[in-house]
Amino acid sequence: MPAHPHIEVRDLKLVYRTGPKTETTAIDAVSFSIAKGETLGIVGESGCGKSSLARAFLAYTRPGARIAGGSLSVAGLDVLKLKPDQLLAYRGRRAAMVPQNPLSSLTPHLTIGQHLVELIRLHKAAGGRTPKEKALELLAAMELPDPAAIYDRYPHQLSGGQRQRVVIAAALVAEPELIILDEPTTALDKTVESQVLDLVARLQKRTGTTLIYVSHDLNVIARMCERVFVMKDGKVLEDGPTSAVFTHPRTDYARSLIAAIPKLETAKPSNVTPFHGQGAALSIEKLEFSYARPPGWNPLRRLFPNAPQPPTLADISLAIPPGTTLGVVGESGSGKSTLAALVAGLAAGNGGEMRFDGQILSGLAPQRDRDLRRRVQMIFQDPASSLNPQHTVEQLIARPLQIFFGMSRAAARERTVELLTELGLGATFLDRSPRQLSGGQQQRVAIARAFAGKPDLVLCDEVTSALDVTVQASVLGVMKRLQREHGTTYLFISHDLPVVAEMSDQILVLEKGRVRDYGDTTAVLSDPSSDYTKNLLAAFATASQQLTNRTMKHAS
Amino acid sequence: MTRMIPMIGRRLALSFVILSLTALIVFLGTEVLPGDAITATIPAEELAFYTPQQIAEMRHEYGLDRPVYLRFLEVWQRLFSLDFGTTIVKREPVYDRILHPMINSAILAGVALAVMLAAVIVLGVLASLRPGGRLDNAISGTTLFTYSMPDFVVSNIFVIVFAVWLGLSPAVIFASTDAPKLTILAAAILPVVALCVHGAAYQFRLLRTGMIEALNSDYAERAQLAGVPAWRICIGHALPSALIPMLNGTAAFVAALLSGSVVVESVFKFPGIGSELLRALAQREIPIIQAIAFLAALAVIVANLIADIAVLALDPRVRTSSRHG
Amino acid sequence: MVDVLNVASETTATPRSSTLKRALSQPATVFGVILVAAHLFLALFSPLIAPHDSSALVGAPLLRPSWEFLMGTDQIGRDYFSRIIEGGRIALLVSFCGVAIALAVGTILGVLAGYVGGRFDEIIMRFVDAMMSIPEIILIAILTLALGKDIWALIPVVAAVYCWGVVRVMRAKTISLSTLDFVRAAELRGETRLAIILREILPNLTGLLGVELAVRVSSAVLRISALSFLGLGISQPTPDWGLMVQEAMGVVFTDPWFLLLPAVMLSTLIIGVNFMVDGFARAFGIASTEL
Repeated sequence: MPAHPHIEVRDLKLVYRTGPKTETTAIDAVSFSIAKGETLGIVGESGCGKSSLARAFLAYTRPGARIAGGSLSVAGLDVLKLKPDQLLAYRGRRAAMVPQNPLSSLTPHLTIGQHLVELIRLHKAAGGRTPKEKALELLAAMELPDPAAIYDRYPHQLSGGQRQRVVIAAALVAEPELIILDEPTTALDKTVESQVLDLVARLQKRTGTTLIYVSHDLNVIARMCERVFVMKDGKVLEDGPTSAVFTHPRTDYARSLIAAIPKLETAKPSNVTPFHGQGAALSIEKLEFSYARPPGWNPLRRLFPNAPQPPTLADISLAIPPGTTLGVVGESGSGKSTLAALVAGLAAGNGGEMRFDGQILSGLAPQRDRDLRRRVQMIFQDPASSLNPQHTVEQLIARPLQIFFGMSRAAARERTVELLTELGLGATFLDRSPRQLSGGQQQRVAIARAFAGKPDLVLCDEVTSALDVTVQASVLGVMKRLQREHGTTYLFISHDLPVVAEMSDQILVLEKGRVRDYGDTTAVLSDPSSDYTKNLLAAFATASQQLTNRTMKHAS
Repeated sequence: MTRMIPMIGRRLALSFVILSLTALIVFLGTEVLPGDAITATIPAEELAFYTPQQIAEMRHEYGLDRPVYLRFLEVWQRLFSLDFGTTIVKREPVYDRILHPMINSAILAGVALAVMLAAVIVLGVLASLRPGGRLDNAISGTTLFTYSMPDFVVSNIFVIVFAVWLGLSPAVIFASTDAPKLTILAAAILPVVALCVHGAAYQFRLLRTGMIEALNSDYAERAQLAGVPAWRICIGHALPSALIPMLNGTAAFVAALLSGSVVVESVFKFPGIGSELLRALAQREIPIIQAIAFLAALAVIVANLIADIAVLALDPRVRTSSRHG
Repeated sequence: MVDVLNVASETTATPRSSTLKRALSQPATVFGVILVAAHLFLALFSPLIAPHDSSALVGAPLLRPSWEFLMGTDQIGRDYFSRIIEGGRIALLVSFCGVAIALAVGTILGVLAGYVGGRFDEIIMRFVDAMMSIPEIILIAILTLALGKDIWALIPVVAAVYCWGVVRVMRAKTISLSTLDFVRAAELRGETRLAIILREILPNLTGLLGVELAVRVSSAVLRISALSFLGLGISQPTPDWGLMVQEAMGVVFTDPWFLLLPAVMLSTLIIGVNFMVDGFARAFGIASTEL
């Protein structure tokens, strides 16, 4: 450690109010130093305190939180003791933050130009040029095409990647010496994330700024940071060079965290060859769907119609052999959720045919035969919204038992307990309400509910995307076990390629509503036929490859 | 900008439909429900003096013996052309009767609206700067208190306090209906304040909620982390977003304003449409009631239309999205 | 991959009963509950407590307070104390019945419009917009013309005025609920629309219903008082606070209490309801966007 570290933290403690008289500790007396120009990653699952720590560097606490002790010095200045007007001179000028969600972080009624110019004027960063010129320069430095056009646009008119570059530009206005990035690429597609990360890395090398990168994604940290903290419950459990921590974690928690990350290299070896037609549990032929709504009866809409929309899904054909898993991978807007909705019967397609076990799957669920409905079930992404908060766990799981098997209350309760036990929960969960459960527990209840009807096909729509990495690993484990024991077929949808690779025998890659690649997992991943899949693979591979590189570097 | 035209066009057409529906409701309420205009207007004792034939003649004269839908069509057409017919009792044109009171009330409502908006915005912004703080509690508490006071009570208290105890103005400014408009304006001051005291509270709460939500948003946090001073965040970033829920409540707000002004006018003896309405109710003058109801609804609908357009101006997402509307 | 963590030990959120406690921990809320309870008590039991018949002439006009007439007599000789404690009964009774009807009808229409959507929704919403464009007083005026002024006619009038706001609020909440996945899960099971409305949607509306009931009843009481004041609502000789304010106009300079007491009674009811609703809504996380 150099004699004068850039940032020095001593016994920092942060608490937040959970009730009229109670407080919880979010950061528990941490101490560390950071050198100038260092790239530090802070990793942890939800609730570990990393977001609070990130904001503490800017001497900012969220409403309801307060600094309960300690000091945080940047270049010798204890920022926690700054007065309000001094804070204004510090924030944005000497230290800046790139927040998590670029869409909600930009003021919706201000243009990009207005955002930048406001900051340029505030921090007097124009440097001889007009504020507008400086803003355009910044946008160009972010490698945005056509900065002049973007200058006049509103945030919602830009793509996710463009918005994030704008937010980064806003952080760089005054050329701060410290930049904190709080999960800046979590909301972005993988290919876009790759580009944004490259940009950030280049900028950091050029300016030598101290970079603190907060994320739950170890792959990203491995790629961007030389040093890493692993946080849990407000404490820093691990602190060291990235490769060292990743290859030889000292604590059990860090070990389990690293082990839980799905890696592309562990793709599920498949033992089936794709075949179309006979014996397929689910087969789809040339499915089409679009959201366009005809004006219909309303004369007002005829006079003033909306603009037409492009089709969401086109020419989809696939076949899933029973008892196997087909993984559907796609980025946002690929139509993967729409596909699940169509198979489930929540929407009706505009063309093509779907067959399940030989029978035709007609449009909407109420029109289908009850037994068919029982055999096709779905698990949704956000367990909090897929479980009715007014119902108890027992009511939630007993309902399909009543509908599909006509069970009495007593019989249903017995069976519910069986299901809950199968999923690692117990009878004590029967009269809890969803709000009293954690994310992982909620998702297990959702899975129990889906399996209550003894389905043959389960559609999984981003079922672990909202969960922490370790919880995700355990939920995926449960799902694999259920498949082995019951011979269920899965249609597994996700944007996360390593997760899909781990779970699926076959993979289908969707882009903008069209199939780009389809076949055995190992075949598609080792030799993709479309450029889109190649790019996707590259984006994911780069991330985990970094991890491997660092591991190898350290080993050698 | 051109994308806005279909949206505005749809809203205009919609407003027209709504206004027609309102006319229908007014018509049904006044002319179709138990008893028609004749039995409603002329008290039973008087009616007994007429022979059935004379009653039938009167019915025919007023067109009351035609089928309902024909009558409605005629009423609808007349209302929309602003031809309000003649009163039943005195047989004078309704339009002349209500013209000046209408203008007076418009002045009263207009001034009240302007004052209320200004007060609400200033108070709302101040209160949300530090939610739960002393200023917020003071303002919120006061507005809660004033909202809970019935408007007729507030008006009376004003009369007592200002006119009697403080002797600031004569007990009531007796402005005749067609007095010069400046006199009307002077007479409107107290009623406006009385209206504001009660009416502003509701809009204030809407704005305050909107402001607090905007100030807690991710974009306000980002601005704060970037070193933007609090006042700028308040006015430049938060206020425009916060105004939208308030504007969406405009129709209800204006309707309540008109409602409240009837009471206030009565207490202050202000020569406006409210007093006219009460008189028409006492005398059961259907044509006047219809005319006032229609014009009041028109005012509310126009206000709503303006508010909708203001929302379009404030929220670019609505403007450029083709899904809305 | 093995189950790594002990699932049952994962963190849980706060249970139901403590939100009730949290609501009652605020002094303002408790104050509101007390006020409302007091008013409800008066509304239900005041005729039993009142020493005299509130409509009867029992003494000389404008007597000073005495043991026989606790607050003296009013301008024409009725016992003022009896009138004051009974002044809210009719208004509260009419408001409560009227708002209950408005809630029932409004919720049915609103939920149907929100969940079924389409043509039905459009027609209902245009009608609601039209009704809400007519200022309350005018609507009430037209309806009282048609239906008469006695107490039982006031109930449908109140219902007709407040129904539409309820439709809007319930429809908005239903629409936001329909997008949630548990409704989609029920649709997947093939449940009928009616079953979904009853089992999935309605239970999530109870909080909002409670808030709407309290707020609209207090608003209706204010309205009826205003109407009585103007001569359109409750009429002589029934005691009503609004009517009593109007009666007080004649003697306001000599005996201001006749104006202030009914005003205070009205205000305390409204303040009580508002504080109570504020506290409960905040504790249960319900946003009451309309008062």
